[in-house]
Amino acid sequence: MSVRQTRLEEAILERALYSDAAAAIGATIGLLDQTQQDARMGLTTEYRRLEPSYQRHSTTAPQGHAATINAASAFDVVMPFNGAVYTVFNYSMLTLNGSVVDASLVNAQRCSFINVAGAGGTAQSAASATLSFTGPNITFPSSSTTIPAGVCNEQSLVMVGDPTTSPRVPSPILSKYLLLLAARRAVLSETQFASLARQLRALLSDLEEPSTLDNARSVGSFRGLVKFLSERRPSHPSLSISKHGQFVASWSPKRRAELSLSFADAEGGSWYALSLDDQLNDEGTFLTSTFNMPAPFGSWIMQ
Amino acid sequence: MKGERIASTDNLALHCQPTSIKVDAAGTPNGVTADAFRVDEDGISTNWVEFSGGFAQVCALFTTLRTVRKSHMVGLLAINEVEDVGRGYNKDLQALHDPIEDTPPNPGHALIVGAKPSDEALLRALALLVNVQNFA
Repeated sequence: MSVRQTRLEEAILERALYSDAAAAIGATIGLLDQTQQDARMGLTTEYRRLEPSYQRHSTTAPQGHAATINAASAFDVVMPFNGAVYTVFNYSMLTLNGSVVDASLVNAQRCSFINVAGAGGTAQSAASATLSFTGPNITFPSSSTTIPAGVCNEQSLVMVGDPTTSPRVPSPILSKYLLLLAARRAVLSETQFASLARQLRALLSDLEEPSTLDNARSVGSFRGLVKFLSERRPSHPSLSISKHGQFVASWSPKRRAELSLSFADAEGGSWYALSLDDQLNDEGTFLTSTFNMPAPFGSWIMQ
Repeated sequence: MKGERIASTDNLALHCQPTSIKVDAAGTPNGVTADAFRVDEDGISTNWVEFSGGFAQVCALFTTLRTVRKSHMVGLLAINEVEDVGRGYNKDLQALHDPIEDTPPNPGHALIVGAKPSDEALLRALALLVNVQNFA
């Protein structure tokens, strides 16, 4: 993975995750499309992201205060390692002809790092069991602990979870779906894209964990929603999420009436329509490719 | 009094979480889904607004019962509309006072009786009646 490519992928994630400006996400996607030429179709890479701050691409750790994660297909990261607490987001990314078309969050972990290069022993990881290496024991360092940096690599860098200083990290489920949305920017209109971004923020930013949306079925449901909107170009619907983790689009042509589409996967799902005042009540299944609601419901999505 | 039928002119309130809220294109809550109703064999759990003294008071009561986040909303239902919809589905829906004395107490708790968890079409119809408001 070239430096330029990793920088671009970094940029897309940064902007998709933290920018409130939908246009910025779209601009970043466009940049990727134009400049990344060397990735192969279907290439899956790993992306590791650290908060609160980091610098890129250094193979030498500044003495005493930094270490380098240097793994194949991951970013080189320089960071302080004096016990500061970081959040590590691990992504699996799918690229197509150099463009990021999908990114799935694998996990997020709140942790501290200690560098054990030149030392040895057993570091106790409160978060993920025991990590072993040779030599005398090392305990979780306090903020004043100084460990010589030495030669650092991923094997010499030990993540140590500390439940007393590492509060549970909310799953960035919103980030995941904003990424999915950003990856499909090209098939949506500006209005659809911006509206979906606002709706995702409203529905997911405060979601209690564990989320019912953090699974492949819900991702498929979201893809189905985007596919429907891009192919059918309806008036933009209201959005909700079912207790089963499916995305649901709904249109209300008038008060006390509603057509609702629940996306089971990328191809379609189930629908129901009702109007309390007209005593209409019907339901069924649909495929986006052959979408054809019975009258009068079909017209409701265009109003 | 437990089991007292609540007047049709009164209103019921629901504590709604993001998993049951619909948002419009601007991201503004504009309704709820049928998942907003917690239905068990006794009925649909709600709160009697007028018993608590009004909307602000029922909001304050909800905050003592559950965690309220900024994305949570209060859904309001007119009992007469609930009863009307029930008749449309051949159901005798009634709102009954059902105060809870356990800790934490919920003196304004009310039940919509006459609906079952399997009454999906009825619950969808009831969801159309809910007017969502921000917590006071």
